[in-house]
Amino acid sequence: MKVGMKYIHARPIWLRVCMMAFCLMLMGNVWMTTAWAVESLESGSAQKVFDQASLFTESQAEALEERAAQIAEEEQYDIAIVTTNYTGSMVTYEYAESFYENNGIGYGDNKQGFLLLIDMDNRQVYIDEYNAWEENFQLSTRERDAILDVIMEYAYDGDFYGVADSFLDELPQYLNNGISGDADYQYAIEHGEPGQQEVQEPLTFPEAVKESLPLAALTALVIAGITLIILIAVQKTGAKPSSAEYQKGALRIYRRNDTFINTTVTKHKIETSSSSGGGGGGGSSHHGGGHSGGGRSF
Amino acid sequence: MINYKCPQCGAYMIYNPAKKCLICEYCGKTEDIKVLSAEEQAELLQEAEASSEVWEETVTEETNGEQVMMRHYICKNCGAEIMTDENTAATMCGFCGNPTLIEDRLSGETRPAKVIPFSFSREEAIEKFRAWTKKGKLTPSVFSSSASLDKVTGLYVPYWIYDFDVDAQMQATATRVRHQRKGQYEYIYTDHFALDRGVEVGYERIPADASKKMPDDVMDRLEPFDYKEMVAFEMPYLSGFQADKYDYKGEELESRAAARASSYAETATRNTMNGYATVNVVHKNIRPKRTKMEYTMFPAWIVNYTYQGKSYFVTMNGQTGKIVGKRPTSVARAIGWFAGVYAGSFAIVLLILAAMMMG
Ligand SMILES: [Zn+2]
Ligand SMILES: [Zn+2]
Repeated sequence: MKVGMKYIHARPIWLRVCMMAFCLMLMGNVWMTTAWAVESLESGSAQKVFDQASLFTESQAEALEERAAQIAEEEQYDIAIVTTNYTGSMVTYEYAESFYENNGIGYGDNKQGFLLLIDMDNRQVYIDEYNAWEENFQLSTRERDAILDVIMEYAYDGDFYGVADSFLDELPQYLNNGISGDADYQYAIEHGEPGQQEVQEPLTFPEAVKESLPLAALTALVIAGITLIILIAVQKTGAKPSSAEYQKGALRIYRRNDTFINTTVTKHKIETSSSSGGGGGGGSSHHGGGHSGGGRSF
Repeated sequence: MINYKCPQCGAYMIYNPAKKCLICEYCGKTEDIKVLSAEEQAELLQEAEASSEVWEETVTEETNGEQVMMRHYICKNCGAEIMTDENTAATMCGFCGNPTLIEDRLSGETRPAKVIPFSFSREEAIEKFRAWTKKGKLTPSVFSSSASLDKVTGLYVPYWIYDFDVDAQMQATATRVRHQRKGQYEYIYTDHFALDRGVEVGYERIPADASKKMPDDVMDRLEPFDYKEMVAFEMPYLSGFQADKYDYKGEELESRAAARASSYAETATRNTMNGYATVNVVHKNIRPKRTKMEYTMFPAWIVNYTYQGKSYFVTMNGQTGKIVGKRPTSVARAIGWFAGVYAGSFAIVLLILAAMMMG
């Protein structure tokens, strides 16, 4: 039988998925133990550029390494530039966060820092921040968007050195000067960033009525419309009979097989809060644990 | 052409739904059809047999271009003309009400096996129709009093009824979903299953109307009929009503009934695949096997009425009183209801919203 064949073929795939998951778990464990062993220097990790996808030439990598180390030293936060061709079962932000945690990245006791991920697997550029609670080390959504606006131009052209280089240009500027608090507040209002909305004064009754008018008009329109449709339907009578009228005796089930085939697993991070990344090509943004960040597709 | 005559006074006898017997409208004598022997029936017929004389045959063209052979008879009671078409099996003299049956259209191959007799009289049918016109919020208020009943016809509609044994095989893939939380992550486990079912189920007396002039959709909606009152066919049940013989043979309509049986069996089989989040049927093989087929006649009242120059017609199940049809809709009433509901819900919603906004 055709159907049965399909199920028999499905079994090895399930086994392979399980084995792969098991291997990944083992690898993750090894990774984490080695990460603990890596001594974190005061100025962050010794290596700044992790070009796993070989997007940079040797001289480009050296130049980036030098600049990143200099900025990290001066500004007292770590910087990592990571490229990858394969994120496995992780999505971009998960990969960025786990890379940050497992490679000794971070400055000082707080391990504060920024990670720029160029993810060729999912074709995303992602900026991850860790423990950036001090104002100087904090990018607002607007600031992050402004940086992405600049660096994504290079990504769209396929110039990934340009992405990393301009990131090193832009990041210190925003952290030192920022965008003025006023503008940032304005942005939060426009884009509805949670927790920053002004508490509204209670409305008077006439004001409340005036505010409610459009929604009330629309709701009433829907209610009246549905009522009319029902009333028109009732003008017509004569429903179709049910099958129960004609069934003779009980259903005789002579074969009933429910065969378990396999289990598939998906996981996702439980989000505490989120806000939209906006921008061309779609974006996303995450806050989880000490990490926050945002990215865009190219 | 025949009719039943009262052995007591010689007036004609018709079937009375309330008393469930033949009754003489003149002297009130009743004859129980179920205990009537063939000889007694023949005796009742004796008088009438002399009137079976074709007076004229003409051909008329229907609106759809089909040619219909009309037979004109002369009513022996009053001398008026009785018109019948090719399928008429029973009718009445339009002038004096003389009930006439056309025997050769009710015998041999065209003799029904079963019949469900009318269960209420013409007067009750009109009453039920009047009550129906009073319902419906959008029905014009003057309608029930001013609608003129043009024609109320009690018609025995020819039906074939079928029994089927259906064998249904169905294969499907199905899933169940479990959620588990581990630290910061939520894991979604999807269990996949292969389902296989083999089911046998029987259906009995699925009807299909065999009359060309009655729309199939309307006749399907007239169902269900109560088969407990279905009896062996005897011609006297038709006395005083119209009846048509079938236009389609049983074999011609079998596929229609088989499709219904298959669809019922498919739903029933699908319903045995329960307890899953998703079920996706990948293969099915439904085989209906007809085990029985019978020619029957079921009762229907056809009501033609005129309202504001427009003619409507509704169909009423002659056994259960179920009505299939549409009441006229008053535009003024529709606007009134819409405006009223709009104003009312607008006021209420506005107050609720305003109260919510003020906290
Ligand atoms: Zn009599
Ligand atoms: Zn007459």
